[in-house]
Amino acid sequence: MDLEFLKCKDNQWVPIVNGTLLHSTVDPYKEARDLIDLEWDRISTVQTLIVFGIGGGYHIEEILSRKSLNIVVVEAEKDLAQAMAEKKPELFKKIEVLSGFPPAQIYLESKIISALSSSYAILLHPASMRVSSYYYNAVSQVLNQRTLVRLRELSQGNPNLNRFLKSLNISEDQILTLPMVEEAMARQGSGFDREGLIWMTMRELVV
Amino acid sequence: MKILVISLLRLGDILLATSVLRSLRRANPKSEIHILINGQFQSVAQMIPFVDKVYAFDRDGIQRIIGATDRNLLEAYFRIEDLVEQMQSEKYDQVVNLTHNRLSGWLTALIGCGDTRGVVFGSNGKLTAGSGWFDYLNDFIEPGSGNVFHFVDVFHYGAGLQNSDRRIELYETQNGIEFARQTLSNSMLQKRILIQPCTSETKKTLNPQKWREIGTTIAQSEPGVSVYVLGSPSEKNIIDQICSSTPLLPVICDLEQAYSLLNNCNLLVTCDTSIKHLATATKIKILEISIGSSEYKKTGAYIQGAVILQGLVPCAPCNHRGPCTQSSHLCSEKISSEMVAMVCGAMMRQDEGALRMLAHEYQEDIALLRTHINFSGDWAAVPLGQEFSAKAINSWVDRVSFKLYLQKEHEKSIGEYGSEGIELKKLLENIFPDRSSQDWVTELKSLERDVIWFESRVESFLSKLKGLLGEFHDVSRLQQYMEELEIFCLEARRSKLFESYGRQLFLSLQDTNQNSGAFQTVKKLRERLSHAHQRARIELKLIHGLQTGFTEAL
Repeated sequence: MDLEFLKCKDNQWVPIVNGTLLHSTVDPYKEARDLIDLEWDRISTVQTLIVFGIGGGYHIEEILSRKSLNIVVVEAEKDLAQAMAEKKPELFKKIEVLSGFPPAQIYLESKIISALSSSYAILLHPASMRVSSYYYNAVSQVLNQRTLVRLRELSQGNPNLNRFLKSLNISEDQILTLPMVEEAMARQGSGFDREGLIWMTMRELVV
Repeated sequence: MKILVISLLRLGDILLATSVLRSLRRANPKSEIHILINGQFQSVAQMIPFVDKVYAFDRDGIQRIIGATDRNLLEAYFRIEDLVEQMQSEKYDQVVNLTHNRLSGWLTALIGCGDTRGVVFGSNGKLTAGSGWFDYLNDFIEPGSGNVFHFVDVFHYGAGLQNSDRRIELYETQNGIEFARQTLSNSMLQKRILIQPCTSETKKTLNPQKWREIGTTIAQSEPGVSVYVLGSPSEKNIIDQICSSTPLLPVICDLEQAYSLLNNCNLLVTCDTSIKHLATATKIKILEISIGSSEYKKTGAYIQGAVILQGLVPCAPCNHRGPCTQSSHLCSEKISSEMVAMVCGAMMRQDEGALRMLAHEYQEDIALLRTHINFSGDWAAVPLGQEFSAKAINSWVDRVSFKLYLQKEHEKSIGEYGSEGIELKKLLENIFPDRSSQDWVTELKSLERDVIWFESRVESFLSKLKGLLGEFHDVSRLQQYMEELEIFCLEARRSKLFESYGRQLFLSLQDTNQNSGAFQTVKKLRERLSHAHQRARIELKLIHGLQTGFTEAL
């Protein structure tokens, strides 16, 4: 990886990875504000925010200036993450950064499991996505897989849900759909406990 | 005491629910009242009095997650779980679900409360309504189904609220007051008419060109009146299109600003919109144009003295789902700009005679109705210029008999037949003011004969059903009985007088078809037939009461 930093006019540093500028050099704060303005409604209500791309950290600082969110950053480039930890140590005290993990292993990280067991959203840092699109798309796929086995793994922090998913007599490698859950519940005839009621609520929302 | 009210439909439904919130507060002054609404309408919460906490259900957000294959399904699960956990921790003493759909039924079950009113799923996955009134809502959910009660009244009775003052009250915000002051300060004219043309569904409103004609005709025929055309920021293009090169004044505003404008104007002309429900919390006169899927009987302007204008075509009201199925928008074509302007003029002058005259003059194209709230708080849209007939009389008798039945007056030692009967007589005289007592007595006698005949038919079906008890081994007998009952239901549904009975019995037949057990089938049929029989008896009592009243006048 080719990494350098460019000083912009307010004495702020903007990383350049493989020749791609990760922020505006004119006004990185404004650029971050604009990005977060666009995403705020979606990301502000969740318990954990997963950010794809540390960049120069401006977008994360902007989020934290608005609300004290639990933030987990997934960064493709380990060198960039290390360099940013040196440049912005205060920021790194407020967030969790996962860097250098192969995509297939990332969902095993306790920080990610904990995030997925609560309400969460994913924020994509556009410039980081341009630089390492292959990595982030792979991570995204892993995080979002809907096979029953994956959902069970993701629900490990929630024993009741985990037990409920185990009770469904569905093949583990199947992609889980809501009608499938409904059918499985009817087949089991085990009545509607709390977890079943939540799945039925979700079922009603399928257009 | 902690009470939760659930209203998970649209803005207009939330505004109607505020009436229940007000009544709950009055019945339980020291209670804490919470409301659960769809997140997209959270901004209206600041206008709703009587609420201590608002919970938002992010329906759109959760739906997006479920629908997107690149999002984790569990994200949706956890969002619902978070909300439910918060609400469970409130430990509600009572939950009133005013949303009549399955989604709210599951959510109500999740919140978990011993005292639940409205639909809720049980642990066996079966939906129950908790009150005959909510079953009534279900039985008459189809568009144009009979002379039904207004949602506000059904909600009150279903929630077990007895108060007759069910008005809608809202807060006016400083932002709204200031906006109205600035907007209206430019007008030197004292009288103001507001037109609100846009609706959530295009088939529920007239086209912009017609609104333009209506506005211009009103402005021309009512000199000294400023005519404003109201819309939200997303409707600006249509509002500009309607107002350009006319004396009409466009106003783009949000809900709280619209509410303050309504507070300062004399007449609102609109269709089935949330602005109409906002207006019912003010003193403005309301002209509601009811077309497309608008069902004024269920969701008309809940206020005394509003006027409703409905385009008369066989297909109206149509189903909410899907666009208009006709080659052109027939119901809106029945409404002319001159007609609307004349109705507005009569309303501004408070000329009831002129309204009745217009109702007669245009009776082939439109129905003109005046809203009325009686002593017990029940809302009705009273037709002006309706033809005097047994069918018209019976539709009102039928409605009152339903109420008395659902309120279980027949189980009380002294039922409220007398006072309801007096109100019914007043209502009928209001609808048909020119009829002599002799006309009434003659028509009621004929009606009495028909109801006696119908009651005896239901009674005979009940006796035959008794005969089937203990004969369950003979499947053919039950089958034959059900075929006979089905024919009777069809006859009732096609009849002028017993359509509502036919509908209810038909629904029970549909239910029983899904049940395989003979015992369950007979039990269900007996329940429904007894219901119909009891109601027919109540109807007879009401007819006798009316006969006595009119005979005394003779």
